[in-house]
Amino acid sequence: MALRVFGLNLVKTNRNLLQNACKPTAMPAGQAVAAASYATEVTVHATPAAIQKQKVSKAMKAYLTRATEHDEFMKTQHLEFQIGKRHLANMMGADAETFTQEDINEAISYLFPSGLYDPKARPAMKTPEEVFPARKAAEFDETGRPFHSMFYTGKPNFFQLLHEVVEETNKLYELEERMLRRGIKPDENQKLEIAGFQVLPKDQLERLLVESIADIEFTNFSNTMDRLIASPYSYKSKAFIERYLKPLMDQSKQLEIPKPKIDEQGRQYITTYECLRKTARADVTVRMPGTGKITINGQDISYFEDENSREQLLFPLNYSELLGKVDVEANVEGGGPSGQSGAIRWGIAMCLRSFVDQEMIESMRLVGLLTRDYRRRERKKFGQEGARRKYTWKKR
Amino acid sequence: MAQSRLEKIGTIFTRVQGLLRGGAMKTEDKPIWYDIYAAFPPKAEPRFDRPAPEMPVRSIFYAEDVVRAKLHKQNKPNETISLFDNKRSTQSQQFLQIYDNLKSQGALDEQRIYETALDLLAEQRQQSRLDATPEDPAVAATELDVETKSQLMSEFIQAGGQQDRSSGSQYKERKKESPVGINIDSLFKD
Amino acid sequence: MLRKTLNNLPRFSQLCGLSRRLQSTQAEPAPAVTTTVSTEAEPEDIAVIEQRILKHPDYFQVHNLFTVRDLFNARVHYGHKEGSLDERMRPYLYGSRLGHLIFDLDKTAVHLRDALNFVAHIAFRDGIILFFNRNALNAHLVEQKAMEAGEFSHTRFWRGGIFTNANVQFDAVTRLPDLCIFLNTQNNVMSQHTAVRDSAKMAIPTVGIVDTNCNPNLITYPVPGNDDSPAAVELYCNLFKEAILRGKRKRRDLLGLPPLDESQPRRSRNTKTNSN
Repeated sequence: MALRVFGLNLVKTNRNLLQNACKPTAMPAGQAVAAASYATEVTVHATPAAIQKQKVSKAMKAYLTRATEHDEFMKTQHLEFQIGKRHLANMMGADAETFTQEDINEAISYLFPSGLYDPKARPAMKTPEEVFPARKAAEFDETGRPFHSMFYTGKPNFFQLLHEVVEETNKLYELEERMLRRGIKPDENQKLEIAGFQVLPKDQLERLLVESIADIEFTNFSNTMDRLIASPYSYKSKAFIERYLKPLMDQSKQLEIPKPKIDEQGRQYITTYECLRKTARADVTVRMPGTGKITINGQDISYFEDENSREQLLFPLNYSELLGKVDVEANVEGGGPSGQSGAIRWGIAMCLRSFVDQEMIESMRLVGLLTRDYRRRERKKFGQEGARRKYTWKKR
Repeated sequence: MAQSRLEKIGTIFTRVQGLLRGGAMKTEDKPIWYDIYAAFPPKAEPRFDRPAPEMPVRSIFYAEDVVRAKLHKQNKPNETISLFDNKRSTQSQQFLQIYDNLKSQGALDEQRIYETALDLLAEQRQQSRLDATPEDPAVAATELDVETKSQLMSEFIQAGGQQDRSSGSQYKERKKESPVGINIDSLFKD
Repeated sequence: MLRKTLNNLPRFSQLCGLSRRLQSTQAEPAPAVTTTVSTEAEPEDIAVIEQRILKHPDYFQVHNLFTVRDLFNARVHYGHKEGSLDERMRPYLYGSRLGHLIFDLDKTAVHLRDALNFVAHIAFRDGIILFFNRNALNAHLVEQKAMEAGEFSHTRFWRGGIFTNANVQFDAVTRLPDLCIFLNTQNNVMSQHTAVRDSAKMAIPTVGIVDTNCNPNLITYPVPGNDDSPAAVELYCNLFKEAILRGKRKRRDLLGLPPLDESQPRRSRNTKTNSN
């Protein structure tokens, strides 16, 4: 935007100069020098030996007309938005001057109630800046010369990045060579720790560069980064590398096992909140030494009437051989018996991680005790009896 | 764009020239290279259909190739050569120097010169091996590297005012056609 | 009116100043010529100067940029093997040494000088110069040198239509380059770079290093020479860069603009919101 303003200003000044030049030549001779000095826009250190006619390239002209058109359009849109806002304010009996965007949203949802599921599909009224996408600023100056050295590749930011990575790699190679000649080995202590990190995924890189990248180009990028990281002196360009690394937070968080807390009776306990299965939701607390007492919503295991659900509850305890050694308290709501028991099962298993060794955790993970079950009820389809079952039908 | 996009007809210059003459392109829209091209036209017209000239590619051979081939065939020198090293001469270069010296003295026939040169080369190598104190390989390596790196740039800068003619002719002298008569091709073929 | 008078007045000074300036060009080895001009009161239009310097055979003194010995040291004379010879490259060859083709460096020097002169003139006229190279080994070098010269580079896969369909590809009316410099004209050993054809289509002159397996026909100013060795490519890049800078310096000098900042390469100015 700033650039465009700059361009407009330039044109303005040019117009002034043109007007100057077109005035009748009644001006004193000294004026000629003054007019000549405009070619040296930045500093005037001597009378220049030559002057240049300010020429605006075709590209810039086209850009400027497009820009003015866009500005005109936005102006009218803005005007219409203001009128619409006033009407809304009148309808709602509010003051038009202090009518905010929130008020607009409220008014719209009141006046035009919509049952459409997707919020984007519902009627809305927003400022034109939000509705119409921002225009690209000019990528070239008034002579049509692009700003970026790799403009003609079409993806200048991406290739500039590749160029920088290679520059960094070359620097490290040179350093390595020098060190080898001096017989110095790279510092093992400073070695770059990249476990738990990964090179920026494609979508994030695209967002960073504001350019869309082909798959093969992204592969090239990650290969180049890998080469840079693999260098024994990669710690020297740590700051550069870390800009394009993303920490693998999600996994490490999962692996982190909470430490048990101590309750007033001196027993270790751990609580897992938000244990979900189907539509059931539970909070589970496991206390470490215990007698095997199980409390579910204030009742014992007979809370579940069917054997299947009871088995579900006991399975993690049985598997980790802690049945009868811990107490379990659970609050559960929503869903039916199988959903509730599944939620509690998952909660117990997650709690038990704090009371067993690493090997057992790994084996529990393999058995699937620590995996959340995301399955939900499948909807009934029309023309069918249920989700999958068809009506009985006989040809003849 | 006003111009024809057929790159196979004429050259870029003739195409733009036609447009300017016909008035399809205004004088102020004339591309900036047009005048430069007119003032400094290229050596050959850049036409798509410029035919390839009928001229043979000659073979480059030197007079000493005969004896060099003989050396490599019968007593192949066994050594490692660094292509970046311009100072040290290889065994076959040393051999040729000795051979030329002997030949210019002119007393012996070719076979004898060859044999004596071989002996002398062996002697010379023995001598140089004794002379050379065990040099630190690391130092030698750094020297070599620095030299090869600086070489190109420094000569590039140095060459500033020099006229190229002298060096050009010098370079030409080195490549002289061998006297015809001996079938050198056959020597290299096997 | 005023502009007209401005344009007309310098003609006198031009007439009397011309021969003297030409002489001084030849006497001085350095390209700095027109120090005397700045004392002249009336500035003249740069377009007039552009036309006038064309009469000088070597205004930017490109002949002293290199010697044949430099070319030899940079291994410019090495061609490919005889089997891959393109028939049209025959006149530029010195001969074949045991199956390896060798360039005649005297001919290369003549062609290279022509090319450098052309490049310098284009740079003087504020033309856009685009460097091409499809050899991954030299890509970084070429990009670097193009940046240092304040010009443009394209060393990647060539998406068709960058020239021929530019207004759609860049979403806007785009000024195409005024000169393409090819550091190698082949995509791979088999096929020619499409940009060679496209620049001929769009009437963009080209300067190209043509090896023995390349087709020099569509290249406006072909320079026969080795296009694979990093040493050779570095030499070409340095020469082209220097020629460009000479042209640019001269222009800024004449226009009275501050000299180019050559200590650091011109970094890209990102117009978009970009953190790096």
